[in-house]
Amino acid sequence: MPMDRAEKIGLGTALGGHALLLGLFALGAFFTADRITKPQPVSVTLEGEVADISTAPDAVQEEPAPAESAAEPAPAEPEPTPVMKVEQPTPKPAPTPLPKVVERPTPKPQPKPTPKPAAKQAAAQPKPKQTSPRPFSKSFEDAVRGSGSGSNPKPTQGTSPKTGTVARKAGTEVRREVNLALGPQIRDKIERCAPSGVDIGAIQTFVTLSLDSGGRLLDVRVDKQTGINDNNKPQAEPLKRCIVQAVRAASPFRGLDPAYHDVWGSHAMRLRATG
Amino acid sequence: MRLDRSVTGFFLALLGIFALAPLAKAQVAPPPVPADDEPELVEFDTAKIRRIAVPALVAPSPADTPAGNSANLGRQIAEVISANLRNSGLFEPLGPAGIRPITLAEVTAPQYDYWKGRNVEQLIEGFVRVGGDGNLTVGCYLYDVNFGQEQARLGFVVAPRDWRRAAHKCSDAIYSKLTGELPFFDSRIAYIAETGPKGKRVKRLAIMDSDGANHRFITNGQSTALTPRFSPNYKSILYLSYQDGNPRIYVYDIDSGRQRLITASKNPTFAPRWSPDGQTILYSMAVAGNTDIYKISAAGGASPVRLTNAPGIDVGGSFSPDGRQIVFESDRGGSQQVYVMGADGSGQRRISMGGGRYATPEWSPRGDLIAYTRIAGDFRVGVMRPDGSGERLLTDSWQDEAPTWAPNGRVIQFFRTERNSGKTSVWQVDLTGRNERKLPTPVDGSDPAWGPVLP
Amino acid sequence: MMTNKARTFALLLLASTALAACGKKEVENLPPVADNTPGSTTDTGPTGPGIVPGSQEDFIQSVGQMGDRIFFDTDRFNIDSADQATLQTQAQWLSRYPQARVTVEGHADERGTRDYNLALGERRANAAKNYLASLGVDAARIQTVSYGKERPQALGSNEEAWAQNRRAVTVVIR
Repeated sequence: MPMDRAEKIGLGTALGGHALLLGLFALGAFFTADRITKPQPVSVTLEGEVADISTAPDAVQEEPAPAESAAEPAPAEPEPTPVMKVEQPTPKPAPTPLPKVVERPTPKPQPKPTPKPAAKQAAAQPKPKQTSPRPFSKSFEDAVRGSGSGSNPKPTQGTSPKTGTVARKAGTEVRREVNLALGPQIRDKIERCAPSGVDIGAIQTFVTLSLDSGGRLLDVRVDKQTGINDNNKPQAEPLKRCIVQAVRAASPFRGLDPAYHDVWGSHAMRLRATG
Repeated sequence: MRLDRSVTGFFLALLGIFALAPLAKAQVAPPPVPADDEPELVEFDTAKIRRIAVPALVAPSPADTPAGNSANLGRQIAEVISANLRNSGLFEPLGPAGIRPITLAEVTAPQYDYWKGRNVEQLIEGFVRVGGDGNLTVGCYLYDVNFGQEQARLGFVVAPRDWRRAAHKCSDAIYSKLTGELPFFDSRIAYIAETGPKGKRVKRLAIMDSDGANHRFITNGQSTALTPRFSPNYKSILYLSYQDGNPRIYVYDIDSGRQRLITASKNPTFAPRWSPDGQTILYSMAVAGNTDIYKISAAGGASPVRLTNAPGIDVGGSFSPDGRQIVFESDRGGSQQVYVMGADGSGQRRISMGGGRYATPEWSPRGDLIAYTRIAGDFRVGVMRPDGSGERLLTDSWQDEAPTWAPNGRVIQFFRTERNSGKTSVWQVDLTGRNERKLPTPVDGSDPAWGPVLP
Repeated sequence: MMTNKARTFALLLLASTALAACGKKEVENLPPVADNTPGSTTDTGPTGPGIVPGSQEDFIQSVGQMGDRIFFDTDRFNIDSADQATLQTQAQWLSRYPQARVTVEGHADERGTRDYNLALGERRANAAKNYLASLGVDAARIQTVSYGKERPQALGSNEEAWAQNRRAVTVVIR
């Protein structure tokens, strides 16, 4: 049946409206386009070989990013920034059943055969120092700080990058490769002590490793743990201890390119359980 | 169909909106930038179990005790520790069988290299001494083999007959240190021991240690006993008995062996529960066919307070660990579901929102979860957060029901009924759903309830 | 494609069927004795050797082997028409022996949790008691007790067994 006038008007309006709409969308897309941030253009030095990735002199050192602190913005220049505050204590753990040997000189275990107070339940009973010499420090924080090593972690500095010969890799690429090298070595040790629990995979532990150019661990610092909730709270502290232990046990690390020590001399990573 | 004005106007308005939308791009979020400032990720698996060596405890001067020679006790204590750690599902203990005995000197100066060669991560060593007063002194030490470092030490003086408690306390300290969890091995379980054919079950109240040792029958089975609960101070047991022909709740005093009714009411009463401080008893009572939840002072003498008043069946009830809320089960909405209310009965609201029916809710002693039985065809044990979210089913069998919690809120205990035969058994499962295991009981068992950690 | 009238009729039919399933109805007249007692005996006196009038044995003999109990659907406690007929027979016997007292035992099947089943058994026992009372039996003569799922009659784990176990049984108190 042929269209009557009213139907023709309707069709025309619809078609016209669609065309208008499409036009406006195109316009809108055009306006929004420049909101997508592009990487800054950089100068590229071509020396025989063509680098196929941008070689912007990225921030050589990243802040290990404790979000709460008023962190300096990531520097754009390879300015030597001593990222590791050597004397900064590792974040104090919440009250845990760690044996703090400092208290209580009495060596006697409970004299009463009757029930002990429940408050002491979770903790080991601290006892006086043993007579035999111990190779490691008494408190866990001491052990973590590697008091046996004696050397100070090297401040990072931009050793002369070999920009004269080969195009230098970007910091992000180096960090990714370093993480791929370190990851399995650390994972192997973590899996020997990592506690299981509900929502254990929600906890992310952020650590910063200080490494010498030979891949030996100078210091490991726990920067923060996120994702702690009611279900996994009991595992947070043992997990932290386990990770620190594992990092120490995995040293010296293999597969690190000394040429990029200025990038990975301080390596930040976050660790998380699967399943 | 005639084109009319209002339709045109409507379409034009739509066009206007669409036209303006892209220009309102200020509200549109830019696409997420890859987090360049986030550290690289390393993932690891927690599924692997830790190897831990448990040689027999050393008895430096072996002497006889009413519980046996202390040298034997040294080995038995190690066996209990080893079994506890294995049963938790989180460790792979070695020994005491099959590993070399240690010397007293090693107890405080372990030979780390030797144990590294045995490929264990942790080492437990200890001693048993018999004092002049006949009591045992038990010391246990936990060492990290990889780091060559002491991690924990513990000492106890116990009567010889309580040697198992020393082993449980050592187990608890080691377990807590390595897992971060609170202890739970040094505790007792009350349950109903079952015998007899399905149509004529004999049900007796019984108690045992958390590992099934020191088992004792409390009632003789002449009348049916059901749903027991240890008081938090372990001095008494609440339970349901048909000894006068009707379901009545008694408080049984363990030391004296005497019991009393919690209420003189002639109405049927069931599902008795303690408050965490042991001062209050919750129970369900049916009046003219309608069941509601009441609370009454555990000391007796006071009148009960009625907490629910709905036309449906309101039954059960479990306090939150801070004593401020109660989770209970009600079919006021048409089917069994989980509800939460204040300890005074206020603010009753439903929290179970998945499909199916929900029963037997129990608040974790940690406060973070509520365990329940979910009925959807089969009966399965699950946990949810106190707001009803995050439901997880932990078991998958024909009929698992009545979960209760280990005192550390990490292990759940329930009973399983076998189809057709009706045989029952007590089971435990880790909160992660792993390590489902049957508890060894002398006969069948049901209605298990776990008491707190002994001081 | 239904007309409006047919649709309305169907809805009404559905509604009334649904309503019939819940709650209980008053019954105006009791059906005559002879219609409802299978294998019934005359009510003029004991027929078996040693059966005491007004006793449990007499009761069973009078109401029949399954006449001492009514059955329920899963999680339900309503008295349906079959239940009504059974209870009416029981009421007649009770009216013949005004001294007899009974306990109504409420039960549930094994496919329920323990505490809820105790409450459900109590509901069922009370529903039977209330109906007997509505038939003129003095409520003071009727006690109730719930056994929850503790006393199954049929021992299988199947629908037939469970249907038999969802019951309220009237027992004469000795």
